[in-house]
Amino acid sequence: MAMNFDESPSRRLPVYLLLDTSGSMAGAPIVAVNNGVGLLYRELLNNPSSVETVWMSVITFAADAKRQPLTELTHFTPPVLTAGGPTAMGAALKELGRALDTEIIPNVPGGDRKGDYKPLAFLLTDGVPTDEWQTAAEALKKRTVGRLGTFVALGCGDEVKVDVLKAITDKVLLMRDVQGDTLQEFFRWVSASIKQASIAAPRTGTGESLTMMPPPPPTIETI
Amino acid sequence: MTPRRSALLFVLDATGGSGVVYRVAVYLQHLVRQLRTTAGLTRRARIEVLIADHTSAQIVTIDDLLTMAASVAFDAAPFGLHPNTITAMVQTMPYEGGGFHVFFLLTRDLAANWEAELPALHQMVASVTGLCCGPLAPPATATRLSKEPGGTRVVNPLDRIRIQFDSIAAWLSRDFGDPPVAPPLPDVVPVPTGWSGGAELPGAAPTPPAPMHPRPATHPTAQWRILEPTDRTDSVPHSEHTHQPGSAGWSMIAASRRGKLHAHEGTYRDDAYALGSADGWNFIAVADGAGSCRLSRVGAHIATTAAIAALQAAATAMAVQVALASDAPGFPIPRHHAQGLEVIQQHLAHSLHAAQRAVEAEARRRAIPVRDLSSTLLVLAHYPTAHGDQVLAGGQIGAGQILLVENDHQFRPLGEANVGFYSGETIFVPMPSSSELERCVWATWLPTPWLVLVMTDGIADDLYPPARQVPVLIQGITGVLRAHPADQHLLDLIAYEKRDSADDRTLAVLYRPEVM
Repeated sequence: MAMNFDESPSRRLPVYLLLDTSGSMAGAPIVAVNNGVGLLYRELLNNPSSVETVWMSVITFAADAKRQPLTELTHFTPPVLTAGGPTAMGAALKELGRALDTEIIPNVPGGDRKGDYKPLAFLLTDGVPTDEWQTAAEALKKRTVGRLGTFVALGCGDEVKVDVLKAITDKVLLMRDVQGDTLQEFFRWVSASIKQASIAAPRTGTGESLTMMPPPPPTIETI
Repeated sequence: MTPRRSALLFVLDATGGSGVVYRVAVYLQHLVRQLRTTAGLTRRARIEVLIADHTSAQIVTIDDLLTMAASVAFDAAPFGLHPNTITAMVQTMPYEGGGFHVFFLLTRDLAANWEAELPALHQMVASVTGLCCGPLAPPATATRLSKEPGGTRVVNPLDRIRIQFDSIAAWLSRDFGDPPVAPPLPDVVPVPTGWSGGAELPGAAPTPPAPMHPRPATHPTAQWRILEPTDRTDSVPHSEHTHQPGSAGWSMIAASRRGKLHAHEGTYRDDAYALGSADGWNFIAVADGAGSCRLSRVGAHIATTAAIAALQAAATAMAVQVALASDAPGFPIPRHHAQGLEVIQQHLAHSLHAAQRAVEAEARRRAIPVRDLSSTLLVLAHYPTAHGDQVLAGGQIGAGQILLVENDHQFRPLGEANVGFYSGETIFVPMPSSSELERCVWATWLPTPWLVLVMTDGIADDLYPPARQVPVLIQGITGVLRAHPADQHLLDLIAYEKRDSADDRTLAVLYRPEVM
């Protein structure tokens, strides 16, 4: 005796990656980030819970911000990133806010589908914003509905302004000695965090468990 | 002829606190990945990673290692690892003709009396390598623990762990891998060294070569596992089912089974149910333990049994209220229906209170935060009157659903799930205030229902869109109720496969056997 339910739309765990592709990322850094996104993708594909729930979006920022729409993990293709131009981080934050407004599906009483799980966002930058970023950052912090579950900002290297990142989110990490290996560790940690959230998500909870993350790797400081 | 294979067991000591355990896990993951890509090594040796403490050891996949390391090791444990957990584990592992080589990654001193276990372990395995990872792991212990050829390695400060692991990788690659013929193809683009962040590398190519991200040809390789819990404390069966005759010719069946997520992680089912009847009433309670709370399965069990006990104790008083309110002949004081229902609602609220008090008492008895026992709770009370109409009353804290089925295609939810803006957000027993509890109950008069279903969100969340999915469920249940034994068939029914449906599933059905 078995039931065959239709394949109705799944509940999604939205994950946004905000990646700095400005000129200072050219060369080794952008290669490392490309490798890191690929690594993240492959790691998530090995986790059945992530395969069934994670939807990814990449927002790159340089002269302006470009957003890849939220895409089911199994249909996601890691973008090939190239670097060049200034650091329009404000535009990226604005784009993230727009994505939360337009892409997130909330629970609606009596609705025909279940809403999304709390979204996660990870920002990686090695520089300072070259555009107006405060308005978008404040708007993200002030959201009362459609808030991010977790927003982590990773600053890479000595040029990054920790104060700016702290104004964007409370969860700021700093990688002073940036190497290909250490950046791979960061993406592995992002993968572990997403996997943990994808395991916590389908279980009944207050939603808090989605925001609990493993401690970052030793090469990264928590600010 | 099957080739002989050795076993390389890496035992991560989870007792040394989150900082050190997680750091060691990061390097261990790298080491194992490195070994797995060594040509020929996995033909000659299989690699297992275990996370262990003083009472248990658990095999983990390399992909889950960091998550597991983070989740098991938030605080330093009261006792160090005991090698007998590893001896016991080795005894249960398949022997493929080669030796066992055990690597203890110690993050603190071993538990008391560990040396008594040592001869048995040394006799069973080919080698033991003790690595002191961090200042809390005494080198003398690692030395005593070790059995050549691995020997003892001290990694303090931890920054040197990579050097030690590289050395182990070289040793194992030499002993178990193929002689090198050609370098393996990297799956990532080599990163030039020397990036200090921020500054552009002098002479760096502005557009780097595109990395290759091989996409799986069909479906991803991720597989759900079925693991047994290693910690047997407060164990519950992975599934259960019950049939219970009720009052006035009604009957109840219930079934509950462990979800894919719990099976994948080797943890217990958190759902629970309880059935009861008294003085003409039928009672059902189901609960779903909060996934993030350690002993929520205990809380779910206590909440359901306490709620049913409270309703059974109140059954006589509730029956009198229904009789008074139903204007039945022989009752001299006519009452308005709504008045009777208010009192019934109060009894339902009282049952939720009783569940809450029982959970709080258990938390005190165990000296743990009451939050550790959090669960949802759905309660149904049903009373068929002599005139053919029925009282249905319910209470609901958190997610799940009570569904009234009028015929094979007409149904409607009773009560309301407390859910948030996002999926996965709900509320639990214990709840903050009495006034909130009173808002969670309802009562109504109804003509005779066909079925009433009470379910946790593991099933309720699969019923979207309801117009399409609920009839599938009703059809399945109808088949179950015509089969024997119905409760066993109900358990089979809720074993369906569905994408994005990994939570525990519990379903209880109230029905009249004579109309099935």
